[in-house]
Amino acid sequence: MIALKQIERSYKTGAAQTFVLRNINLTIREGDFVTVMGPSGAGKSSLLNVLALLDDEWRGEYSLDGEQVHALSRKGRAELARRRIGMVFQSYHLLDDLTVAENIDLPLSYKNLPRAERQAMVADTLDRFQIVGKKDLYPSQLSGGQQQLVGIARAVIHSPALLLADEPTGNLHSAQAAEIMQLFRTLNEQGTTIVQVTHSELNATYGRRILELRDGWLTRDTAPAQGASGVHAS
Amino acid sequence: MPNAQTVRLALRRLGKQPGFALLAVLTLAVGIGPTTAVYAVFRQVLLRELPVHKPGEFLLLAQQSAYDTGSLNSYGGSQELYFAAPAYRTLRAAVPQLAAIARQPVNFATATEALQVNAQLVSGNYFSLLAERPALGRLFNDEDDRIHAANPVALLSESFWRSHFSASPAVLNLRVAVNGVLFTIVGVVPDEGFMGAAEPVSLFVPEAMQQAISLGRPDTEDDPLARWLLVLGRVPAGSARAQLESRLNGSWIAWRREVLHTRADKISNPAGWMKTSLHLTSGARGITLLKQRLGTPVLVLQAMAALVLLVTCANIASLLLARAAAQRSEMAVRACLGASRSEIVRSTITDALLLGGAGTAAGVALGWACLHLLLHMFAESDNYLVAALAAPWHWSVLLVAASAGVLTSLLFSLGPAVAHARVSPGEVLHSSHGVVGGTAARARGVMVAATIAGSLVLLLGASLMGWNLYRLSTTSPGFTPNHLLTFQVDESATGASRQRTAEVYTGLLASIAHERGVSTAAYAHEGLLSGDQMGSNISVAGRPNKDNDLEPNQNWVSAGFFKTLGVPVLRGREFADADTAASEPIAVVDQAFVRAFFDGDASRALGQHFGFGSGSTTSYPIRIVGVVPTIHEDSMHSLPSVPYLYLAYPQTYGKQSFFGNRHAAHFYIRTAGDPATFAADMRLLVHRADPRLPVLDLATMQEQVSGSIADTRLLAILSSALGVLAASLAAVGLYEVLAYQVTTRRREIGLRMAVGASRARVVRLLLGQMLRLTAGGLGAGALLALGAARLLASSMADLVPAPPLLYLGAALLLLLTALVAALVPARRAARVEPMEALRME
Repeated sequence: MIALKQIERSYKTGAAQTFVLRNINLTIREGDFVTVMGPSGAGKSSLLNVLALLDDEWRGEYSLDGEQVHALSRKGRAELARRRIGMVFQSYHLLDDLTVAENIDLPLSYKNLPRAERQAMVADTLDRFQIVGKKDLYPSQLSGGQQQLVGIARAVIHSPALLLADEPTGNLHSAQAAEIMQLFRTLNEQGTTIVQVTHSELNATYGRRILELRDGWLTRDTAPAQGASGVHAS
Repeated sequence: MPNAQTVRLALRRLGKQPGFALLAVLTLAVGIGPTTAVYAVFRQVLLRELPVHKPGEFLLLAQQSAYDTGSLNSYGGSQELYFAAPAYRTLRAAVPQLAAIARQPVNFATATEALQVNAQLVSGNYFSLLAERPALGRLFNDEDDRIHAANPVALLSESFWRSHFSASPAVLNLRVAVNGVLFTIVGVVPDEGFMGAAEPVSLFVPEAMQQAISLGRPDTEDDPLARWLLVLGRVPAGSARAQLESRLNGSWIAWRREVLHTRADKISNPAGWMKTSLHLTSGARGITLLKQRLGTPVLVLQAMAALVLLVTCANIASLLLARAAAQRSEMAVRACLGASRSEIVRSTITDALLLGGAGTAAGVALGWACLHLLLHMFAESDNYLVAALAAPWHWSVLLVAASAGVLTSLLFSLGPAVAHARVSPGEVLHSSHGVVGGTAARARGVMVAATIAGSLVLLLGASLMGWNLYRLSTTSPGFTPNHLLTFQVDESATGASRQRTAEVYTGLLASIAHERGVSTAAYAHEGLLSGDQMGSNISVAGRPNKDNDLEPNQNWVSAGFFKTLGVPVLRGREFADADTAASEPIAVVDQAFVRAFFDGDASRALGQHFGFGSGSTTSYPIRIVGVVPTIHEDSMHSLPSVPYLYLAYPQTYGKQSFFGNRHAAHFYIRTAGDPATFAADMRLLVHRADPRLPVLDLATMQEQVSGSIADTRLLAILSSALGVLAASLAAVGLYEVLAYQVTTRRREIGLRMAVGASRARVVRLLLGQMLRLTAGGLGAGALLALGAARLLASSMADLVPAPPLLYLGAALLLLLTALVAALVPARRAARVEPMEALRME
């Protein structure tokens, strides 16, 4: 589903160039549940940015569902991301001014979908995540776990093939974290490919494959050697 | 265009920040309110067209001649617009779609009341040219307007009919006296006359009745050298205007040649007389008396109001930039969830448009209220000001307000829109806090400096206007206005004979002088500070006339006039009861007269003789018996531009002049106590003297002096209000920027303090930033003010520059305001607890 080839990302710091991702070669198959780990500054979020098509400044080759991302325009990438990717954030990033239902509807509102169809999809999602009773509440009226539940509901409402999560339980206590991770497992079992960034070893156990980054290099991949993925540290 | 959901969400966003929304709406209201109110006045004074069918089709004829001679009776507008009656008839014979009008104040008396009103003399075809229909009865026709055989019929204007006759149909066929001549009312017409709101017309009479109501003036209907008619025409759009002009010019030149032939004795420069042409000018706005009097001040006010609007715009832009920074993470989330840049920009602009809409509505309400407050403040001061301030709220005023609202909304949303459009969706992974970017912070700084610059320009303008008001208020008019009451009557306008007029005035003066508390009283033909002037050239015995001799203005005054006014007699004596029609003609002259004709030597002037007119047949019957200081006869703004001479009023009754029998009298009564308390008594005394005699302009002299500088006072009040408003906006903007800086730099401040910075140093850091912004704004403002001062000096010649210290004071006031605005955030910064601030991050 995802193939990264010689991906590099660097920032200019004065006269020098600081690399945050170096020569990343990686393949992720459909249905994978990948955990990206590593110490702070290792390049985890940068990799997630690249995968989420939120970053345009990398070099290398990136193929998503057969689409050659590196050859796409900025607009093309945004359109591809809108169709295929869902994002879950550590601090939920729900919009305070919108109700639960409106927050979930937000990604759909940026697509040319008929209003009735959108309402039906939101209703289905509320039902699926068992938060129908909270649809008219504002984020400030929810607990952290409930907010993240809404964040995930918003991320999957348009049935993305790829779900990216950045420290999804970072702001939650352990019981809530366990519920959220269980939800990710269920989604993965239903066919959604998931890539999560986390520091938590426990969260990593919900996935099936672990990538480890250090100083921008991909230093470990628990995928079988003959699989479609490979690690080339140089 | 934003859809319903975008609007709904924007409303909710603003509803969640009521403080911000209220501040933005109020700020906008104080920007749009003055702009709208001043525009309503601007339109009334400079743009308003006559309320007639297709006003754009009206043209006024104007003549340009190298030389002209004869008399001119002007009542507004350029002298080129005035024509002799025979010239009009000749031109109309060539082009039938011409009409003629003139204006004359007349005494209008019914069986129950007498008052002075504006009458408009109109040719018989005037109303058909205007395509007007009567509200009642009929209009005039050519039959009513036959020269020397006209019908004494009159029309009332609809507004006069409603205000004085309660819109009663019984006015038809009512007999009324106009300047003592009986007229029959034959109709009511929805017309306010050709002079606009400043001089609304109450009565229309046929132009050919001019001689009948002229109070003994010479007949000018057949005089080719007496110019007193305005000639207007109607030319439908698309007609061949050039051809019309050419046809008119043919008739005009032929007529001038004929007059040159028949009146050669009066035309000393035949070549110049024939070097003449006619052209057509727009008559859509009639004679723009309001524009002539108030055009420039209103233009200045409009420019100031526009500057306040810009200051407001910069202020709200700064406010929204801060909000944009706070919304940065929300925009990143939206971008991350698939919102395109255009969708993000649209939501930003929707917020701004909603604020703009609410601000516009509040601004229109505020402007309306301000205008009514001003109207209330100046209601008694000056007809022209009242006419300007009573501006109707035409749809175009609302359109201007709406346009200002939309334009400012778009303008102030530009910064936030750009800031939002630049948000990268990737930011969502980095920070949950909105942090103002360097560019946005700089932009806010620029906005604050711009508001300070605009405020400085407005404050300097206010200082200039305030100084001029102060100067005028403290200028001595040359007479003592305290304890002085004045009113005007005109017995001659009731049709009374000269003898009867003299008897009424003498009797009235005697009865006033007998009133308890009255020390002296006198009267004059022309009212002080009324702006009315009459003058003619003179010849002094034994002194050859010079080409550049000034034509003195004259006033006719009764015995004791100068004593009553408190004007000292510098040499000789003033008029006494012994100076009668039968005694030797005498005059008192002012110092300007002495300078102009006697090289400033008053002792030489005394006893000298002069006469009116020039040439070999001139006699010198008038002896100079006294010299007085030059006083503010016409206006408080400046001394008269020509010398003044005063004639003994009783000696003017036999005088044959263009003014004929007209003998108005402005009474001046010096009282021991408050002159206003004598007002009712004066009305009673006038009523006893002649019940048909209307009392006009009854006021204390202090009120008259105050009224004559009302336009300067209005300008000073409004410019000060706008200046203070702008300075307040600048202070609020500065406060917001610094307060925001303290919030966003809390960690930095904490860190500085943790590594040893004292609280005083932190305060200095903030104040230093304030000083940089203020200094930048003051510098830019000073440059702008220099440019504005040059523009003002070229358009308002009366303005006197204020002392530099006053300007410096205005700048210091702004600096002080900025300092006060900066103190609260600076103190807050000094109270930051270092460890707490660092832990927050």
